[in-house]
Amino acid sequence: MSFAAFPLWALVAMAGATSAAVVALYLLRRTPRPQIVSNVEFWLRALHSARPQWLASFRIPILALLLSWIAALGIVTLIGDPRFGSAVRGTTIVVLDAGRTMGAVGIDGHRRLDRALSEIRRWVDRTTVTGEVAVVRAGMRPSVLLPITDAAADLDRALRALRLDDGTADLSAAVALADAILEERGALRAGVGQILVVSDRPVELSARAPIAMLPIGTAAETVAITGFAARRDPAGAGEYEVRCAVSGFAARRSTARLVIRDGEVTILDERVTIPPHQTVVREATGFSRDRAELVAELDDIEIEGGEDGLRLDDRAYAVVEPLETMRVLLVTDGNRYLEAALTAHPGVDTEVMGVAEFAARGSAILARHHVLVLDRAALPPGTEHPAVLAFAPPIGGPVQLGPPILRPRITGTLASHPALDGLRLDDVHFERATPLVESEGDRVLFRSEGHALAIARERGRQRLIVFGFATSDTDLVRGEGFPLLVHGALRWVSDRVEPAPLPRRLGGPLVVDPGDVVRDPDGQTLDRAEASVVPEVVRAGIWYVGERAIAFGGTEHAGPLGAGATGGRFVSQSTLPPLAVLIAVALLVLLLIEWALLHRGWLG
Amino acid sequence: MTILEQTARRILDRIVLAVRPHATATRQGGHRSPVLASGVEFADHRAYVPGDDVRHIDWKAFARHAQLAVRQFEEERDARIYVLLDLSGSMSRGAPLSKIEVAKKLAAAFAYVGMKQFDRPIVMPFGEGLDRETRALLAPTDLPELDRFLEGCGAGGPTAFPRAVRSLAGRYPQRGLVVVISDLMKPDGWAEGFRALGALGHEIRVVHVHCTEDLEPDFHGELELFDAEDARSVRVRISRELVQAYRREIRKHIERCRDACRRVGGRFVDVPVEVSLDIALRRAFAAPEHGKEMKR
Repeated sequence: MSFAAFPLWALVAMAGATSAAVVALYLLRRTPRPQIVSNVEFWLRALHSARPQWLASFRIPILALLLSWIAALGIVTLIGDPRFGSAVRGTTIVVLDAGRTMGAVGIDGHRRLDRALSEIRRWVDRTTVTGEVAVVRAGMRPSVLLPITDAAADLDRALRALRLDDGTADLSAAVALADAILEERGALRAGVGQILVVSDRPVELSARAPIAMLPIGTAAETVAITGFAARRDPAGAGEYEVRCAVSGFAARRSTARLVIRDGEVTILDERVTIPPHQTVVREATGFSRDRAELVAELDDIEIEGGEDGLRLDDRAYAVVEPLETMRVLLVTDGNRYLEAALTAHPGVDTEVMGVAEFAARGSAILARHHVLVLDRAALPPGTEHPAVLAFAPPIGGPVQLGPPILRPRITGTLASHPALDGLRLDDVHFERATPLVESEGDRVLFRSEGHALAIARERGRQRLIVFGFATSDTDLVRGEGFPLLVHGALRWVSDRVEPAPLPRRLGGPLVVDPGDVVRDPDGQTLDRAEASVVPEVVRAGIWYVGERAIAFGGTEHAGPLGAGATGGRFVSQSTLPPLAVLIAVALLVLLLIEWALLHRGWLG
Repeated sequence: MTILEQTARRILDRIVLAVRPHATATRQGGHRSPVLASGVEFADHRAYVPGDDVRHIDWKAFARHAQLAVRQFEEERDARIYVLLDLSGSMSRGAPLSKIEVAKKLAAAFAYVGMKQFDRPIVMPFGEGLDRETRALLAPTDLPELDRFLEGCGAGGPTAFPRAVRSLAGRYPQRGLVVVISDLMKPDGWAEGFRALGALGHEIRVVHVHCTEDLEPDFHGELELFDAEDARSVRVRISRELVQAYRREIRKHIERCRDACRRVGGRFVDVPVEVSLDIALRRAFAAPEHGKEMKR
């Protein structure tokens, strides 16, 4: 039972009515009725002789006794109420940090989120006594978890669906949302709005409404995967490389078993030792012609003198895109080096055609191929192809030729060009070569003195790489770098450079083609209307758009766990003291007035 | 309108007010007296001594016993009846009749009976003293005069019973029956007055007229008590314990008065105002129960 559940005006009205009734009854009690008696002397003698012998015989009017009893009972009840002295008036917006670190378990053995929910329940109980409250979920994107209400029971219903994001909470945005709610509610103008931020991170926040921080959680240590990436090996057909960084956010050395799996295939299983506040990196390779869905996981973590406080940062995800077939038309009258280099790559589907046949069939077959590789051949007149790779072009080809030179040496390379990625050409020899004449916009891939031996040209959507030598005139083709040069050149001219196979960042959107089905890491299909964008992805894992896998990792959010302290003191913005104090003060005032009146002789 | 209605007089006509011999007066009347003289009622024989009236010698006894003896007779005398009527302010209390109204009827009744017995009653109202009184009423024909006198008596003012007794002793030295009609609602002075009356040789009959408000008050709460006899007031919070203490005080006071009355051989009767007049008269004139009255 608590009067504090009533609104302020009702409290004031009840207090006024009660005070008036008490004063009236008091005055009525204090006003004597006249009574004529035969002789008052006998009454005076009775007064002297009457002695109370029991507690019940004290001369207390039963009405006054009842009133005193009720008042005392009310005060005791209010004091016994756990919300005594803590009722918060006005509108309170509780901002709950729903970031990944709230799932950490501190040295006290409690999960931070559980402590936060306990605190929030307590505060919601307090704030709904005399005011209203809303709860904003501060995830990677803020959202309203509990709309403004004055019923504490609504909170439990709202918390049932609460789930932490796998990324870091955007507290600033959540506070801004809370501020906007207060503004819309009119609480800012009335000066009764306030924001309570429940978080395990000490952050500087600002808003128009007063902000109170309620730190949550105790110190915790963790070992986390802070980096996880995979990419195709440019030098290996179907191979990919995996790089995994493991950091220890602990004061002492820690060990963990690092396991990296591609589906059911384990590509790395190693126990790593991480020095305090250091990072160790492990790399591995795998092979998959198709898509690789990689999961890195830390297991059996041991921290000297502590425990791993957060399990969420022990997993990371990555995807290696499947190899896409590149259809290549090789026009040659016979070049085993080129054929070998092209067929060495599993993603290249090569068709070999003679120069005469190519000239005869014209442009009819060009559209079927992504790249055209010309060996001592030229495009038929009047035909074009967007991606051409030419070795020893004849005169009249797309590039003007200079006079042949003997035994040239590579004196300069454009190493930054994607076609030369990962290559070293300083030990290559040529018997002869035909220098190429640069045009405006051409980029020389490598040269010999002042002679361009290879150029890359990009005109509009057309890309062309021309080598001014025949494969039979160089030992380049005998080295392992030649297939790499061919593939690099193919990727560039075809403009099919693979994007960096890094996992998507959490919190970012997921663009979806219309008609594609989106499934979350648990395989649940998202109920997506006609929108072609999932606005934000806050859960780490491998998502599926149609048959395509996309990894959303959370490694960039991994870091040391803050050491907050559960508790804090919430500063009530109410200018009114609790009801029990009001009653006590009112009673004290009444007693003082009575004392003053008695002292002045106005009362008997 | 007379104070004593016909019904009351019929009751009183059957009542004889006996006065003890020692309290009789000097004139011949209807009451036995301690004097053995020329009465008509034979009392005793005694030996003849020279000087006795020879007419009183019982010759028949001389013939039987050969000794001279004279006969003695009781002398019957009248009795003075003093009716002391309390006119203090407290007598105005009571319901349905006030104590003063009942007391007036009782005073008239005693005077009527006295007049009927030719005892020359005198009605004496008293407050702080004896201010006025009736003349000695001789016969029932004086009843209208008594009526007029009593109608002029109203309750008010304080009580001083000892002073009234002293006035009585100074103005009326003859012994007689003193009937005190009062509510006794003053804590002190009553026993002293009764002792003085006894010492003067009066027979005392105290008629205690009381009401429920005096003996069994039913007050409660915050009250300002005003004294009916003077201007005093006292503010008290009446509790059950206080009422009980008051009852104890009143009972103790009445018992003291009763005891003082009995110590001087007087009679003490209680007459509540709530009873009917015939009951009140029977109580007021009730003969003393055997063995209850204390011997002087």
